Amino acid sequence: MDKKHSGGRKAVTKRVLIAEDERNIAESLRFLLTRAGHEVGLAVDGTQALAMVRRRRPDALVLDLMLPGLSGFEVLKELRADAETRTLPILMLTAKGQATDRQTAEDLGVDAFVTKPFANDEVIATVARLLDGGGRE
Amino acid sequence: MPSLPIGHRVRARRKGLGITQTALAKTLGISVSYVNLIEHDKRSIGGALLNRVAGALGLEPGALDGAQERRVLDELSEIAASVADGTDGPGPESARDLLARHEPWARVLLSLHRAGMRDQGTISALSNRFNQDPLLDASVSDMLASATAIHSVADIFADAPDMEGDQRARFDAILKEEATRLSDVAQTLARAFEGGQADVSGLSAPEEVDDFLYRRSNHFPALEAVAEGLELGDMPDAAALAAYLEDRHGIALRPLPLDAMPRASLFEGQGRTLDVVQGAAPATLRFELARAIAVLEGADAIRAEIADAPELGSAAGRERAARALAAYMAAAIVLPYAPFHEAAEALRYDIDALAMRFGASAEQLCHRFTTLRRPGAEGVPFAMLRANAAGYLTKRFPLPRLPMPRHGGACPLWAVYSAMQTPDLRVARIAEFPNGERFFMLARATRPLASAHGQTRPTYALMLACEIVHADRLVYSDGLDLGGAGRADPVGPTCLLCPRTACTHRQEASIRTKAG
Repeated sequence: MDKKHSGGRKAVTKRVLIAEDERNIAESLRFLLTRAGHEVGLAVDGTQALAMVRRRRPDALVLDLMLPGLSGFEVLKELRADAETRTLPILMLTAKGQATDRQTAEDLGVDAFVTKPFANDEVIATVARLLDGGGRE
Repeated sequence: MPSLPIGHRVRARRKGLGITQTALAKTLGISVSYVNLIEHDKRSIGGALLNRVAGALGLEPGALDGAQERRVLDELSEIAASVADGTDGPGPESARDLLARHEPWARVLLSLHRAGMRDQGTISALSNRFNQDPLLDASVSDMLASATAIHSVADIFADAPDMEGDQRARFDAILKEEATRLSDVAQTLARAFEGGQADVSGLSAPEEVDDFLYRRSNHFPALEAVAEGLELGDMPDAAALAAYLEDRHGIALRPLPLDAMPRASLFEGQGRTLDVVQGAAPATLRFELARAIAVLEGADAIRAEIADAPELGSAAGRERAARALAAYMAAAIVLPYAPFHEAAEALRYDIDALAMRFGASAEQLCHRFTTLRRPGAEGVPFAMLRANAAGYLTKRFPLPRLPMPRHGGACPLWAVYSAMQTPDLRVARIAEFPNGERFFMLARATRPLASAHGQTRPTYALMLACEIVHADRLVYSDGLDLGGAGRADPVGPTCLLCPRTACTHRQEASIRTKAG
């Protein structure tokens, strides 16, 4: 429990964007991250995720790999190519721990990688870690 | 080294011919008791006497040299080692006794062991196959999504007993919905297997080799190392390769007209000539020469790769894999990793430019692309397939998320099929799958020249595919809108697995329920 609530610094609420097309998974992630004290946004496809990041840069992005429109890889690539978002902490979710997926994600500059089905604690703790060490603001 | 127990064979052969020990003793000019000692391996004989025994029993000289027995003993000790559990197992001496006294039982043991090994290979190959099957792949994705949601919500319930009513009701609904979806997927799978989709009668040799290559990402560092160690240079031409074969192995080329080529023309390393087709295309000739060098110089490395492969359960599978690896090494010789990888990236996988630079055919290049997986110097991860005019896939190398059907054809909307309509032209397309994933597909159909008038010219099409995220590394994607808003062909895996019910190209009904 401690871990979950110590993620965001109490003084400043952190913004986390979730890009996930499986709405039930998204709903559960939203609940968990909100409860951990973050302000949470939700995108249901890759294009929307990019648009939302550009409109208002979040402090971290939880990015599913298998998104309609633009895949998680493409979103990641676009964000890393843009000076504004080059250092945005990104946690990628994938359905399988395929070695090539992990390799591609790492090559494209992902900060963390969690495979489904995930333990809630793992996602919350990883987001907390990224917000503590990965953010620039 | 104790002598090899050949007595049982002398005895069996003598009895088979209806000769008594006394008669044999007389023929050989030795005592009956000595014959008895030989038959019970109490005396080891060699040289002239051994050959006389063989002659008296109508056997070839050398038939009793114990080579067969040595193989059996080797295999018996292999069996003993494979079941060793730390306690004292049967030692070499008892294997010799078993063979000397109960030779038929020794053979029974060997057959059981071989059957066990074969079954183990089949089981392992089948489990690999389940990991790649498109239907299973799709179903597993659905199940993982459901399991993730259920798991996460269940945790939340356990963790937050004081949740508000509204929120609790929403999560209750999610649990119900996901449970229904999970059971739908389970039913889909059950239907598929009831329908006889799952072939559990064992894998064919090509399937074994497919699994073998896929599991190793089609990359074999040991073979690359052997090829590089030959020091043939960056772009060895046919003359250099022929000279190498002649100098190092005393093998001469024998050009033959196509119709005079032996049926099994693949060089297996025996004989001092290499048969090549007169007037073969330079790229083909060069590749055949490199293949011969691979067979000769890579034999040990190839054997080592195959020996450790649980996927290769059958002798036919292992033979086929050996040929595939010889071809792999040939490619590593004519298209050496480092310079080829560098050129491929620099020329952005331009097949024509690379063909010019390396004197290789398009198919050789495409094959080589799929092997560029050296850690730290990876090329674009490609899937490759080849289809014949009937639509059947005759070669396949899949990617993790681009599963390819093992039998029959793929979705008729894949570029590999559209390319058939415009032979020699490259077709570059963006294909979007029902789950939203997009792949870049590049295909070209070719019609190899017939060797004589009246022969059919078969058309086949070769296709490379990569995830859209890598497409900008290819010269062929220039001018295409690779972004999410760009035009993409709505394709599927195969009709059977495709949820696009309204598709006018559908050939058969889908077994996939749209879940979620």
